[in-house]
Amino acid sequence: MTVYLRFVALSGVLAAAAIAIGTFTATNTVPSSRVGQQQFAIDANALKPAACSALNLTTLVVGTNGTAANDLVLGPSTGSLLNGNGGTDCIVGGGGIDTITGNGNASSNNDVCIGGPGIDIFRKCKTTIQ
Amino acid sequence: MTIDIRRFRYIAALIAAVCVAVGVYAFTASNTVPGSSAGAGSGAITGYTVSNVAYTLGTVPTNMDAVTFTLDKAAGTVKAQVQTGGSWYSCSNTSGNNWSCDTTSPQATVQPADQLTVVATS
Repeated sequence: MTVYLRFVALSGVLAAAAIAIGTFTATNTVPSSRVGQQQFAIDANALKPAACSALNLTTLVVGTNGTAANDLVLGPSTGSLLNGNGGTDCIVGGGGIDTITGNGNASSNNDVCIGGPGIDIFRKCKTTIQ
Repeated sequence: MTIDIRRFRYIAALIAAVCVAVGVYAFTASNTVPGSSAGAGSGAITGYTVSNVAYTLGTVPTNMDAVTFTLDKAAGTVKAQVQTGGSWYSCSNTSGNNWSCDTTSPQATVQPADQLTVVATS
């Protein structure tokens, strides 16, 4: 009987302690939040204009002469002669009077030629945009 | 009249205990303790997903005038960088979760632009 009473008393003390701890532990309200960072490579395919969205470009050329690959050719601000050479290219002329020549092989010519400001001349381009 | 010694002792002890308690209470000075705040809590921090990234080339095609993209959730502050270690550009909300970053000051160029980094907070 005595052991039983001690057990009951100890349980009561523990319960009271638990209630006291719960009562005196304040909680802060913290809303959920968002913060993040994401990175992407900037390559020819990422930089291509919407008019070239159907092309899968692999090489960025800043200048006037493309490569045998599928190029994004970005010309200078002044009039110039731009050549896509091989591959399926997206050629952007820029300012001035440009002469833009797409793929030399007309049968596989899928080049997109974008003139930009100024009056431009297009050769062997599947799509031309002044 | 019979006095139960055990009961008398018990009552006397009880009276003594009450007197001691009253005395302690009476002579215990009170401190003024202002209310204060302390507590603990937690809230989830999650990230964003960026999609529909597009670049706007300038009149000079080698200039990059803007970059646009879409976030999967609403954001409050968004900044972008187009070159590793380069300038950070502030972005503005154009509609919904669509954002546009003007990259003309300082003017960004396609070379040496190598990597788009987007940082967003709610």
